[in-house]
Amino acid sequence: MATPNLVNVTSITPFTIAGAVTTSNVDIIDVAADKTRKVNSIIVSNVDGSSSATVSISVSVDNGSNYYHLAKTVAVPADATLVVLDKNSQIYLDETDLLRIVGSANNDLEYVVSGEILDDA
Amino acid sequence: MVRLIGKNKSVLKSAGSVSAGNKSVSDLLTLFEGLATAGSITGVWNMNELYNSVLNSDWIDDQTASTARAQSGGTMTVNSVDLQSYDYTYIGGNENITSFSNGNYFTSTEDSRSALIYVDGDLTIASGQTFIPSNRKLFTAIYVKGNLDVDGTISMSSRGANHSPSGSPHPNSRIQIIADGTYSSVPNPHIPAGGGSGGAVSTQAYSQSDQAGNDGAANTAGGTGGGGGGGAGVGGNNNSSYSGTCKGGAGAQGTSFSGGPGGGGATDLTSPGTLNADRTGSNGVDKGGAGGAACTQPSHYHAHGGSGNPGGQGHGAPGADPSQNGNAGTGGVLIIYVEGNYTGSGDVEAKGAGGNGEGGASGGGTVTIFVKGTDSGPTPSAAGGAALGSAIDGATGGVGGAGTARKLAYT
Repeated sequence: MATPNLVNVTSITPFTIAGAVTTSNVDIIDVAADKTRKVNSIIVSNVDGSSSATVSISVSVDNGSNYYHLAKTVAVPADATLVVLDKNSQIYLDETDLLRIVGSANNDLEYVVSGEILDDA
Repeated sequence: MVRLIGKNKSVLKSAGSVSAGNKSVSDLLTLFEGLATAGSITGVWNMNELYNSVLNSDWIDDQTASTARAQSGGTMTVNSVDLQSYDYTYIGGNENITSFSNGNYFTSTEDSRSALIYVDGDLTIASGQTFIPSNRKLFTAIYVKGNLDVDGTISMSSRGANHSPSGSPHPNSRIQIIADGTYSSVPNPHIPAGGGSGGAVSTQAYSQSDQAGNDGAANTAGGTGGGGGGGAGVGGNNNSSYSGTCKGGAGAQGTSFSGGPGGGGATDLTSPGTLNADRTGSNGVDKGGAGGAACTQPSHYHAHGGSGNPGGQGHGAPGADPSQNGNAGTGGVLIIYVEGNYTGSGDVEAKGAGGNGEGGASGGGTVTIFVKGTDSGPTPSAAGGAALGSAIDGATGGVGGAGTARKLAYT
């Protein structure tokens, strides 16, 4: 098990994950062994219709021991969409790395995360 | 990603609005919640745009309505109870009061209206500042959307309304301040129509038996305190051969808009031993009215009026003597809602006015502070007016009853 060498990857497959944001921290990406995830976009939409809600998104590069924020308690207005990360600021997540999301209200926010899985197994 | 071509994205932002006018609501908190509508932001925004918006104070929490200083609002019916007219102030952002100016928050209308203050942000009362209306109000209610920090003073002391026939007549009225329920173990908190009872007419004083005024009763169920009764003095330290006799007037009951006014004092040294009307102090006037006048013939002495709106007429042996009048004011009604955190080391109060000499003091008002966030702010006080001294011997006027002062958590 090692950090994939991007020159030697055997496959590159796209991925998109989506779901509702809750008030509990949830690891929405947990990178498997021999894999790297390239995250191209993180989009958060407020679907509540009337209330603003905040979102925090963080990553861990030590298998969950510490998390560092991409965005912290950023207000997403009702009926608005926030592009937290796009191709101008894409990031790689290595094996065992985590991407976590939490909101200020249950189900007021929804996320869509898209990118590629690079595999050198 | 969706992009807007040829259009400034500022059109996707809209400011909030204020909707005053005649209101009919179930409770006072609901009125506040409907008084202002938050603005909105729609569309798709990237982090760079968000950063610039926040930097320019132009993100969602900044989309408030324009500030509107003290002005007439409309009429108010709360839980089917007519609470007369209200004035309002709306502040569309944080407010840090370092130099209080009455006109920024209150109109000069007296007795006939309540004052509503909506702060769509944080409110800070700096040390040394006192947030108090210059004129009497039916009640003052403050809604803070953010945090409230009180290092100075928020006060309705001596600002209870005169809603008696001599002021702006209005019946005692139950004030529904929040939806029924239990808040910090207090069931269905509200301001009752009637508060504590006034101190009764004093025992008749004669010979050397001076009589202190009876104290007003406290109210701990949301209401105001009753006014203290007037004292009766015949010179208890004088020669027993003097035959004076007199009686102090009763304090008035507290109401939903005012602590009770105090009763008038009475003194007499040498009358023939029968209790005449001119040796009797008048009662404090119900519904936050005037303090009771002192007896009109305080032979060889002077007698003090009770505290109220205005203070009761004082008398000297030759006739009316304004220097013996009761103090002006009764405890007022103050309600505060804090959506955020409540902090500070200042004071929040609605106290009654102290009593001069034989005059009864006025009752304390009532203060309720609802806190949704954390609460480490000042504990409120609604003490009744104290006896300030200078009475004839033992004929001190009664103190005002304390009104309710409480902090309640809500969600």
